[in-house]
Amino acid sequence: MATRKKSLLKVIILGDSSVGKTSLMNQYVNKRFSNQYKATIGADFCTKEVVVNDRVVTMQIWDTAGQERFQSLGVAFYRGADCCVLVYDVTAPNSFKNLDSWRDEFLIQASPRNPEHFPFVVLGNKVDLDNRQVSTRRAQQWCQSKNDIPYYETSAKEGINVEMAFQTIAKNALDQEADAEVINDFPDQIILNSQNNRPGNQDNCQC
Amino acid sequence: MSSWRESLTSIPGTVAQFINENASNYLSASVTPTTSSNSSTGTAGGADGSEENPSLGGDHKSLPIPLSLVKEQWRLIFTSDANIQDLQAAIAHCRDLVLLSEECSEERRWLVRHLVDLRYSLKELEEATDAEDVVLMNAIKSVVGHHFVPHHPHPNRLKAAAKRNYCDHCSRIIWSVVQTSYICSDCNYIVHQKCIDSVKRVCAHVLVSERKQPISEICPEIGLSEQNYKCAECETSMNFKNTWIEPRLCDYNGLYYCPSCHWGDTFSVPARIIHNWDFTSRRICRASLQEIHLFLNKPLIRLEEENPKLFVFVEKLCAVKKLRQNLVHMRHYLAACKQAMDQKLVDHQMGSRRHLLQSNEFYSLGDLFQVESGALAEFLQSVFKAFNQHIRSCPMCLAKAYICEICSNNEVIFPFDDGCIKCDQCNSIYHRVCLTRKNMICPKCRRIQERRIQLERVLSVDDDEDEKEGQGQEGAVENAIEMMCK
Repeated sequence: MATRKKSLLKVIILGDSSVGKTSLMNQYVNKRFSNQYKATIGADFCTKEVVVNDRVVTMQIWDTAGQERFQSLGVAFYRGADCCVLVYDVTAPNSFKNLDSWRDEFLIQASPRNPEHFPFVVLGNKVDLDNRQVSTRRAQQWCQSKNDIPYYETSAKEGINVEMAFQTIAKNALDQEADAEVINDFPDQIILNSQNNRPGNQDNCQC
Repeated sequence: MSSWRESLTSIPGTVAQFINENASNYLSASVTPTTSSNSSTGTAGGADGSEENPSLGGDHKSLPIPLSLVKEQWRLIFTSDANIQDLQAAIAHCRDLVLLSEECSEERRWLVRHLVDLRYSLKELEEATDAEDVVLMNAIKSVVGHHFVPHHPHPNRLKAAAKRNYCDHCSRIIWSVVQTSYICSDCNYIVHQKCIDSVKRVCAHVLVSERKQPISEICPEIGLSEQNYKCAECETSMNFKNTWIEPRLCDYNGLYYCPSCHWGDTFSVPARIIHNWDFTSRRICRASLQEIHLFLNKPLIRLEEENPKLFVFVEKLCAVKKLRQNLVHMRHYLAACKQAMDQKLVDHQMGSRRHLLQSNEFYSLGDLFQVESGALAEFLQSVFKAFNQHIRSCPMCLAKAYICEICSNNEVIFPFDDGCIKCDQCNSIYHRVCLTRKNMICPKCRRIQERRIQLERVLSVDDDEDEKEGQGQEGAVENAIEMMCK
């Protein structure tokens, strides 16, 4: 069973503009932080190898554009995601309020097999700043109401909690992979059947 | 000298005063180095005095150039072998004049243009290392906006003989073997050396940048009487009874010209293309021909704004519009794709015609000619093919495709695909069939709407709660952060 699991985990980071999605990814993958703001255009990804449950897996982290004007492109890459990270800025209440819509849009566009149990992780970023506006309790309440989403408070600048958060992300992504595997046993067989049929089709085409 | 000062009357008071105050020391500072330049300014000044008044009187001419100011200034620097110090002094002086001139006035525009010229030549002078470069630079003569460089006819004598050049000023032939001639590097005005100082036609390049768009009225004729029975360019008296000097109408700007300023050249007139989609050649004057040639490759015409109905009647135009729309969508993908950037895909395909995919609005005159001939559609088709090939084979571009959320089929779709439709509000892409099934109501827009209403409702409730909780909250937050950090 274990050998059949794929070793590539696809993680999507979503959230409003300038909440620190790119910074979080950079901090996690490259251990670097820059104070300069540079809007992401479209989407881009980084990969990192991680050890989860004694297995080495490659994590493909997709960083997305939060700014509306850079969202002129599609989001086909949501499909096949293993985990979705929702990021908000603890000093910007609006970025927290928008988590709902980010989550809904993701579920609609990605259309996972089991939307109720799809693994999300919420990160409240920029806790190093003084002017905090969204309380921990409020965020935790929201996460609980959405099927107990794990919640972390991070700082991409100081590197607080970043490693831990992504470890959880990888773990949850892998767990859902395992769940999907169990559910998928039956459809797999259908695919095998269709492969068996293929040579016959090719014969027809060559006629 | 006195005539030079008289000619300053058309400049705003403050500027004129300033020039008068500074004229003597300015002249002595920048002109004294060479005696030849001194004499040239003298003659120019004399010529100005006599020419100034008629040109000011004729308001139909609407030359955007305050001749008095400009002629003096430009000549001062460009005919003398100015060194770096002279130029720097002139730049400082010109800058002062700019600051003194009225905002948005013609004087100011011309002064700024002159300042740019001065700075440009200063830069060239500083960079010129060889004596040859300096000689070349000094060969550039600047007269009423033209930048004249020595004109060398084709080295092959037969070819040179085949293409005869006529002087744009006196309209006589230029015998290239015995006569030196100059050509304007901006507008291709060709002139005998002997005629160069009496050139009157303002450089078409200057006109083009002042006008910003080709004249959009069809042949706006005002009549010979409005022109005081004078040629609109050289002011030669003429009327229809005098058969020696026949007034000729320019179909582009609607003015009458004498035969030496209007050689009967024919060309398509922009206004007739824009309004009537009429490409027939009409007789236009020399100045207009040069102007239209300069407009040819400039994407300045908002065709759909000027004449929206044209897109209904001209099928070719409609096809080009659709192709361009698709290319605009594709540009978004290519601009965000590292691979395409590295390959310089857009540069290779478009070259200098990038405006075709920047937006859908602007057309150049050349584009319109090509729409009619069908060459533009062909060109855009080939670009579309190349772009399409990249986007459909590039993993990053494919990742940014769309999936129709109505049918939720795994097939990816793009905004430029046939059978797909884009919501103008939220930029979502759907299968046309799918959206029609939903009565053309975009599901994403509906969600956004619903969420906004919900948020407003929650906000009003939240405000009340926040006020109650306000005090105890801060301590709890700090505790929580500490917990998380541990």
